[in-house]
Amino acid sequence: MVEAGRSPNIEILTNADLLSLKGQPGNFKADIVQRPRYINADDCTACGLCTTYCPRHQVDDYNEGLNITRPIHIDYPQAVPATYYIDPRSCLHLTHETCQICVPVCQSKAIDFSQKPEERTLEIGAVIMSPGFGRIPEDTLAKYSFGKHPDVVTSIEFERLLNPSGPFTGEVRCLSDNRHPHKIAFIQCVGSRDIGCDNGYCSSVCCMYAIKEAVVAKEHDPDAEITIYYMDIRTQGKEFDAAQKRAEDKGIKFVRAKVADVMPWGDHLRLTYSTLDGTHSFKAYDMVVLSVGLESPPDAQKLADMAGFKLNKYDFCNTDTFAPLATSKEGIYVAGAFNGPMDIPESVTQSSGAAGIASGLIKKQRGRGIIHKSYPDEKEMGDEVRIGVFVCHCGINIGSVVDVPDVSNYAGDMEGVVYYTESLYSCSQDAQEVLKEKIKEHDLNRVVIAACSPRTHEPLFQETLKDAGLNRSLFEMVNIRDQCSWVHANEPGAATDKSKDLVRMAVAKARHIQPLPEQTVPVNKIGLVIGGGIGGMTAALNLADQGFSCSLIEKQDTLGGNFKKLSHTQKLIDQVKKNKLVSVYTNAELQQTSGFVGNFSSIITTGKGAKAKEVTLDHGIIIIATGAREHRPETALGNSIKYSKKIVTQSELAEQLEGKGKKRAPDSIVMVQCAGSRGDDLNYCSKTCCITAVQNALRVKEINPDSQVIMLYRDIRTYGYAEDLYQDARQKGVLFIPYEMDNKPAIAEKGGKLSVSFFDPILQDDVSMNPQMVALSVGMVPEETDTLSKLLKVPVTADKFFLEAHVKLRPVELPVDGVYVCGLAHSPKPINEIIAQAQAASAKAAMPLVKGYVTVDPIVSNIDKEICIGCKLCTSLCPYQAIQMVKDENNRPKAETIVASCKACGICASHCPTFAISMGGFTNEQLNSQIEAFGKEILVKETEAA
Amino acid sequence: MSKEEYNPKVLGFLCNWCCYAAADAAGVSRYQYPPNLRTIRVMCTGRVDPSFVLRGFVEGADGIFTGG
Amino acid sequence: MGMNALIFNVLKELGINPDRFSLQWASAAEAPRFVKLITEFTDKIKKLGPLGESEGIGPDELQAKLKKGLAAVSSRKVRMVYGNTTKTIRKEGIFTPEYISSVIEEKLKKAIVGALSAEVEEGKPAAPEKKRAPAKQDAETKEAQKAPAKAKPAAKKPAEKASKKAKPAAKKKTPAPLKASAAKKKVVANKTPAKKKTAAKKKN
Repeated sequence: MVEAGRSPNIEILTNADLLSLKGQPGNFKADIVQRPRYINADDCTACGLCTTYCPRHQVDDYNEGLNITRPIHIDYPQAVPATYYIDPRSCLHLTHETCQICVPVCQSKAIDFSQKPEERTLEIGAVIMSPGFGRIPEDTLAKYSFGKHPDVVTSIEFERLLNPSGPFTGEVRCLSDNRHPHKIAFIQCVGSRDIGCDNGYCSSVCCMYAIKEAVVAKEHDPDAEITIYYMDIRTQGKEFDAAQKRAEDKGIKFVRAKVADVMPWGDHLRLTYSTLDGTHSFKAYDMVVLSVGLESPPDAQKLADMAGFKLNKYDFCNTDTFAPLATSKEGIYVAGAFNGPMDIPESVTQSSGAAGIASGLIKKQRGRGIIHKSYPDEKEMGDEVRIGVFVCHCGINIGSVVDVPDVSNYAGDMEGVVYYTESLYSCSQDAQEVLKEKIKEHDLNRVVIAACSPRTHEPLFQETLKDAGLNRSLFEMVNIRDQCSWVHANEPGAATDKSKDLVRMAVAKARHIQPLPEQTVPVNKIGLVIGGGIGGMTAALNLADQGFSCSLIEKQDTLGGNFKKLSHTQKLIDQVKKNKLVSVYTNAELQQTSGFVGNFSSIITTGKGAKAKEVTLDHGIIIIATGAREHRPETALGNSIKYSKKIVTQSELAEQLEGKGKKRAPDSIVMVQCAGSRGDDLNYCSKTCCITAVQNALRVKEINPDSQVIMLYRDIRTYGYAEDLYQDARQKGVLFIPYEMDNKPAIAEKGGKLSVSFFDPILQDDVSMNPQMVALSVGMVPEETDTLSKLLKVPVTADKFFLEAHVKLRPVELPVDGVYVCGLAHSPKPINEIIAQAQAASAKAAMPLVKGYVTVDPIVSNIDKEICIGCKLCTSLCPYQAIQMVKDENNRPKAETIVASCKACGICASHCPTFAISMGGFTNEQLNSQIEAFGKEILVKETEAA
Repeated sequence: MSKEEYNPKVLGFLCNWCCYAAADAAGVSRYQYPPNLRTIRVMCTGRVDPSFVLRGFVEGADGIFTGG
Repeated sequence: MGMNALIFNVLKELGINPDRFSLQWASAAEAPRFVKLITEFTDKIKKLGPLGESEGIGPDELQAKLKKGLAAVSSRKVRMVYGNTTKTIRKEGIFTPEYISSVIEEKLKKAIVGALSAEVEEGKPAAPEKKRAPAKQDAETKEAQKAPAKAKPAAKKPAEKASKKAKPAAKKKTPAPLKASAAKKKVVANKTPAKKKTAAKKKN
């Protein structure tokens, strides 16, 4: 978010509404209106003084109404833009034309009640719709006493309760009497899988977030008794099952039951539920959490009408399996929960993908209108250290606690300091001009600013340094606001002492700062895509659409992969073959890769027999789309399996049901889910089997309506809209019977006769039957990720799928820069998700290609080859594979940083046996002198002392 | 330094992305805590060298806090 | 990770309460947790009193011990073992405190004790400074004890470092070779009124 806020090429219009959207792909006109925030964003320093003075109370919407705030406020400290705003619904001035207390209070005069709504027309090439999701209507929650009893909360409210910035600063308390709840119940599927409120779909995310919230609550209070009431636990995502198991191990109880109602019961709540065997029970709870589903956004219809795209029957955006990010209107794309309920990783994936497609659409305009700043040349640095110290009052934020003049004078007495001063707001525009002037006037070559946090303001000051012809590294910031005056408001003396100490330490460090060159590494604008299945082909075509050539290598002799038989796949193969930017290598395998982002070089073998040859490819990025294949376990659920015409996998059954001419379906069939998955043979859930099985069941019923179809399952995971299929199958008479892992179904074949026996929890009895066929849902396993993992030095999970750089925020990037992953090699998933992920991976991969270079923050590590003894410790400890071994002129091994890959974590430096490694901006010398300055007040100038 | 109450010298190494950010957020929320901490910002706790810690003690720290 | 255990062991060996060092985690969103951690830690240190007091070590001995400790963790031998330990822990992928301390116990302790006792035999701990030049060569064990933290920077400014090191207690500034006296003095003179002006302006 902060990154988006900082980019000079992203304009953020908050408080804005879309009024109309017209035009064609590549040439849209959008009318928007921006509501006033009554505070000038450029002037607001986010000091928060206005909120403390504002006399009016207001419900804090950000905290789900569980808290009180003021009409003039900021939702939360990290909000972007970091500007306060005035809520016109409750501000006394805006509602009654009185008050205006905030106006004189604001030291930077940022408050402007004269602001009016502003209409604007934007000329744009493509549109991405991401309005998110809406709320489940409250009347759906009423049967659980929501609104009647304060201790029945939604999961979103509970999330706020758990949050450190929430109403009780992270303590879970009952809203009724502030006691800590001891017994907590979660009710799943509230407003999802519920025909009663017209939400037939499954919201996909609630099981997982309920588990997360339960675990966090349990961490808060290990003695809490937490029960989750569910129909099916749908933890189908990557590594989600493992998380569920951990929750169970922590003592969270999972009860498969329907909750009938929740009623107030003295100080408590009474929850009535019925289990599968038909018994009703009730239990008392201190708090009940409703796991509410995701509703379509409230203005979905309006948006669709305005832009001219279609919604589906649940009022989410309508999309096609094979074009999951495109709305029905060309040039308008969709990402996130508006495209159907989904979790964070998938939303992030979709937004990357949508941005990539949009950028492909408007690629002709690429580079136009982009803001590139230029700076004066850096001036020569003399040997003399000339430090300027600027101590900021931040209005009264610092000045009212810390004795700023005292600190400033103190700084003036320090070694190397040639100029020192105070300023009222050092971040203001005019203060930047002053800073530039002073740098020139006093020939400063190091700048120390004691003000707020470098995390928020360092970039601003560094800009100014660059404008003044100083290298941006020649800067050190002292945090005497966020980490001093604000947190020691009642101890001015101690806060002043602390400020002095911190300034002294910073000046000590500054003395050793050296200019660091801005490093850029050129990028070879060619891609390499490994794997020619649906994901790999989509990624390759997408790169081509964005104007980049790539090589697509496929292990088998034809393209297509698992879904070769789909007509969509055939279409893709055609497109790939015709596309001049995509070079296809079949029978090809990667043998070796060297280099780093922007400059990879790989050797592949391609062709068969006599035609086999080695090819060297130079490329800037790598997309892994190596896929997965069907798992064929020899034993499943304790039964040894002999695959035959009668015992088949679901994919074989699907093929049979599609068989030309002889569409025959068995008269009776038993489907067994999780045969070999979820802890049986494989540890994970393969996500797609339930949906495939239900589709097959429906197909059987369609061909042969009298067929007896029984599905034995653990949890039916028809998440999202696939829940409709599940409902349909139940209505058409498919029998769904759950089994437990301590009482698994037995499958046997004797003399050509099948028998399946299992425990029926409704009948409470063992049942045995002789179906014509048994279909097993066997899950999938990744294709030889081990080899690739070693070749590219990228990690895999315990289940051998590739492990992304950040599960939530960087779902298609691998920890090695320039390497991306999509499709089944990442985790099992259905086709629409594979395609969206492939589009996301290629969008991400195109970023360095578009830029043509990779910039390196100069804080990367730097190895002194003189001191390096070539022990290789750093190469093996580096989490980012950013250190390689090279030979020096005497042929001795030496470590060398691959600057393009380094993330500046410093593990190499802190573990180097000979202190040969230093970090830019955080060298041993700098940190050591900072530590020394911490201990000593010896830095008084000789001249002064004398 | 030490008058009636003893004020220990505490040196802190805080990770830019985690604890340092948490400390900033504490400021924004105006939480109050003892003013003894002197922070050195690092980009990651991985940067904290054992020798920094020992040097901190040599230089007179009574306690050293490393926050990732 | 491994560092916690390394520092713990070194402090223990030196007879210093390991509670004086704390390695904690708080995410960017966990301001209250940070506040709690830092408050508790400060209180704990307050209770322990000044370094050395609760340990019953006098100031001179304390300095000697600490410098020995610093030399030990700066020695190539200990750092080598430390690095390898971290590597092992990573490779095994087991991050429970128990496991980490067991690995450290097994691998590191010997090196630490070795490094510390070697120093004792040599007598004065202030020694570490001078010896850095040979650190570049391969005289394994010798350097192990002393190649101090300064190895690299010291090469540039030996005089400054050495003098600082030698008398840490001295309050006066010794590092002579630094520049910038005259010019600095001048600006300070010009400067003070300017600053006053700012202050005055503010009052108005």
